[in-house]
Amino acid sequence: MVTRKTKLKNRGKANRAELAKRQNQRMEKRLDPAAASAARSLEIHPLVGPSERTEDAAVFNQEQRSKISEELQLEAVKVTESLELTYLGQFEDAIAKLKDIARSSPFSDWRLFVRGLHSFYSGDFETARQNWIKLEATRRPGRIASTLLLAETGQPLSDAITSAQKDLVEHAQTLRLRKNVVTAAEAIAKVRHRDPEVTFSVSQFAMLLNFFSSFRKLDPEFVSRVGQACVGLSIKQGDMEVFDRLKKIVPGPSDDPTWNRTKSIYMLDFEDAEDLMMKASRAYIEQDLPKLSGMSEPLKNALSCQIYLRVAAAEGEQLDGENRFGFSFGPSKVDYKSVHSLLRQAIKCYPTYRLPHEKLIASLKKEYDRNDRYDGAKLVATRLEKEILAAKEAMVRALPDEIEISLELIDIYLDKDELEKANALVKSLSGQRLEDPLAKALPWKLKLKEAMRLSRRKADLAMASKTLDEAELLWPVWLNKNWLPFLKAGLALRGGDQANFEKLTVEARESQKTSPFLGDLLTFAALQEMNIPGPDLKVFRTSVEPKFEKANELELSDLFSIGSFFWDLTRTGFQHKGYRMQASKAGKAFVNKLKSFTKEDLNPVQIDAFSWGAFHKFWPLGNNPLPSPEFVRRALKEPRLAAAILGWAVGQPWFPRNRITDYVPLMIIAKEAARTEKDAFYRYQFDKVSDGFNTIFQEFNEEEERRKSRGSTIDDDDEEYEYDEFEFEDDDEDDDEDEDDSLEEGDNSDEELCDCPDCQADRARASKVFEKELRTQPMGIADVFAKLGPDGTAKLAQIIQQEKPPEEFLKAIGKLFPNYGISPNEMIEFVRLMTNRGDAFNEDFSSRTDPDARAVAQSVDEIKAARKRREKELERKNREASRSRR
Amino acid sequence: MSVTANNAHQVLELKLGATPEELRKAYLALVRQHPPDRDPEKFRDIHAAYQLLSDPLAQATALLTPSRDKPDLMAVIAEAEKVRPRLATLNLLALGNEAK
Repeated sequence: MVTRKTKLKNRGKANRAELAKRQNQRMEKRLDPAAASAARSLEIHPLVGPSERTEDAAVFNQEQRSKISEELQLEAVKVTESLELTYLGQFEDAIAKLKDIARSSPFSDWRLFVRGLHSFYSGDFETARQNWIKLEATRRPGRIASTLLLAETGQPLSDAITSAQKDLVEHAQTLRLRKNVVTAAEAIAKVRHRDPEVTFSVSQFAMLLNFFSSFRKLDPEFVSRVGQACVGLSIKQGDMEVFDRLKKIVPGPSDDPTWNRTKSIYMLDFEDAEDLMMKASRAYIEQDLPKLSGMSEPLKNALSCQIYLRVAAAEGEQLDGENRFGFSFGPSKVDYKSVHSLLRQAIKCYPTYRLPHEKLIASLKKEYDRNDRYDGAKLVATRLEKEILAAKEAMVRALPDEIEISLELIDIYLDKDELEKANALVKSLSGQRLEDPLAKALPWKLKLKEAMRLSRRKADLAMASKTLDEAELLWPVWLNKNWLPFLKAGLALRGGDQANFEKLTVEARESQKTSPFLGDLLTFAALQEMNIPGPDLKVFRTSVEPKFEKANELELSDLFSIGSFFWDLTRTGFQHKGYRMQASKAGKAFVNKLKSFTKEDLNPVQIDAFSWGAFHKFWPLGNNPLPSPEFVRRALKEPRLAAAILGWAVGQPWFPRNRITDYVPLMIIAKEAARTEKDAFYRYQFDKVSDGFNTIFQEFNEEEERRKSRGSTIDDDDEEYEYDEFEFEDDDEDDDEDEDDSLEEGDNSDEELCDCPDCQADRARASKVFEKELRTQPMGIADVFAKLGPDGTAKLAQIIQQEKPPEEFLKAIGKLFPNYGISPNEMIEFVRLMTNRGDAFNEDFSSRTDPDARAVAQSVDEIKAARKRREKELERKNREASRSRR
Repeated sequence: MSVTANNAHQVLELKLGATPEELRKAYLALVRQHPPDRDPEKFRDIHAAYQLLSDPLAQATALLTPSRDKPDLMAVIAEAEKVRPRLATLNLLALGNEAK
């Protein structure tokens, strides 16, 4: 974007000076010249008088201060600081500042003066007089007090006051009237804008500059407030140039003196401003916060934590975009390491805040999920597993009341056979009132795992049996018990009691009415868990594993049965060996076979199996994140299934947000079912997943709202703008109060471009540089297409929507389509996209005669029509602007 | 008035870096002055400000949340007009210049 300032520079020095002069004249007119000149005449400064005491002069004059002793110098500084605090309205602090000044000190009069000043500012002139009457009339505090009282009440402090002070009294009276400053501020506030999107225009900015230079010394606090309100107005519009200039002249509020925090928030409204947001955020944390002595440490830490989180989120989004498309428009500046480092910094700043812990764990999991696509995946996976474990442990340490993460950690410990650690964590949870049925079932889980562990050594088998009995007593009522008899049988075999094993197995199969295949699976799984040695296990393995290898040949009824068993393992988080090895193969076969399953009303086993199938990603994700219609249709009737689908969705780090509304009916079904469900596990689950999804949905809606109101940014140059440097582009006299001078609009109109040979040559040079940059981008256009693959256009559409590449880049892609074998349909989609943007397009396609090409040509016509509409609209605006100037 | 992170200190008549003790003290003092039964609206503001300021995370979140309201410059001016202006330090000191 060419800034007004850059263009002005091309016009030469003389022209610039003339423009600046005219502009100043015009602004002074607007700002109420009488008020401005009155303000200038009011600017008076303390002067050291011939009979002035050195101590009094030392309060405002550095040279005089150096003449008194060091001890007295300190007191002089305190007086100055106390007066400043009084000005800021911090009366108590101002008085406290002077409390150490002794009665015998030459500064004791100042102490008395400050006391009286507080009463005076509170409107209590009598008390002020009481304090000030004791002041020495010939010293500065006495003279100030006298002038103030005379100006305010017409009564001098004492007879010592002479009429010679009349001019000062007048000054005091005028200074006490805010009228002149207010009139000038009102002039800025009353400027009207024709464009409703403009909230603070360039003209207002120029008026504010004058306002600052005229009144800053007279009424700094009010001037500062007006300036801050102007900054607030400037950030409500879609470009940041005015804001960037304003923040250089208006001091920020005490908790954001350099506006970096405000800028970091403001940048959230722009799609292409992540870098600027991050830069401002870092500056606030690293440069501003340490200097804010008035801010409490907990608030500083909380702010740093939230800002680190925000920067991490921005980097994460950038990274997600790159990962989704497999490339970036330029060298990538972010990676997981950097995101995780930011999240760790956030945790360090505020360890007891849950969000950064959760985000770190989620991000580590995300990296873990992506990792399998690369070489050396195993090494990275091992590192990431360790990091995830460490992150979870850190979260549990910082937030011992967080049940969910404790449960996850306990599962990890149990899976790794670290029973002591799991036990300790379970104990630490025992003091809490637990609502989650899974948390309540922890003692059962631990006992079961303990029984399995004890079965390793023959000497401990008696203890294992006892522990398994204890586990039986603790068995959750909401959980199927059909695997328990098989575990008991397995333990019998581990003890060498073949006959008992066979007896128990037969009984278990009969009592549980299991299908032969499920019986085989439960037996095999139980024997694995009870540590039956490999050779003895072989015969059981051969009755199960080959069938899983050919899972597509299994009967659907078998798949329902094993699905139900696997669902129990899934929902209890029990990492059963049989489950880990076979679940995926069975799941894919199950989903395939369901296509021919027409029954609508499901029995409990089928609901379990459906839930298991829905919770795991046994279908290719593709563009549709929902499970296949067989699932969705039934989920709309069965809340348990709806909850399972939602449970999957909530746990997805890659949740496809463009389809999020498809899930809303399921959320409603689960939420409503939570009221009437009798099963404790499901009642809790329904609430949990529907609330979890609702949170994601709300976030999505907020983000959408923000996206809709986003504008665009301009380059963030660090050039300092001084008061006198600011200049207007248009040099015509414009006294009309109607404003239509946003920078954005002015810079985009063709008439703003200078046609002189120099400027034309400049533009030609810039264009060449840009083209060169385009060609030398790390990822060339050909590479982009090589990466895009068969779904090229759809991906490209996403890229264009999200990455906003330069227009030239888009045009170049358009030209390349015929050369890269993109199908006409894809081409049409692309053209439609271009049409929506109203961009120009390679029109070669219009000469082709096949139907698809005709459709393309039709789209090209639409483009032309859109372009014409745009041009007409621009012309209309230009006409209106010229009329208004005339 | 709606209590925000930017005006919560003002509602409780506190300076920015107030300690938790100062916060509690100011809150109790103001609640005594504006009990909920007699001045429910003011009490609501005081309580909201206290809750915001006693939770640094909530305060930080509020400070980092973009304001949806457009600032009203005229309101700023009107508010300033109600307050008796204090004189800038140098101007105040100049009022004690010796008579010429």
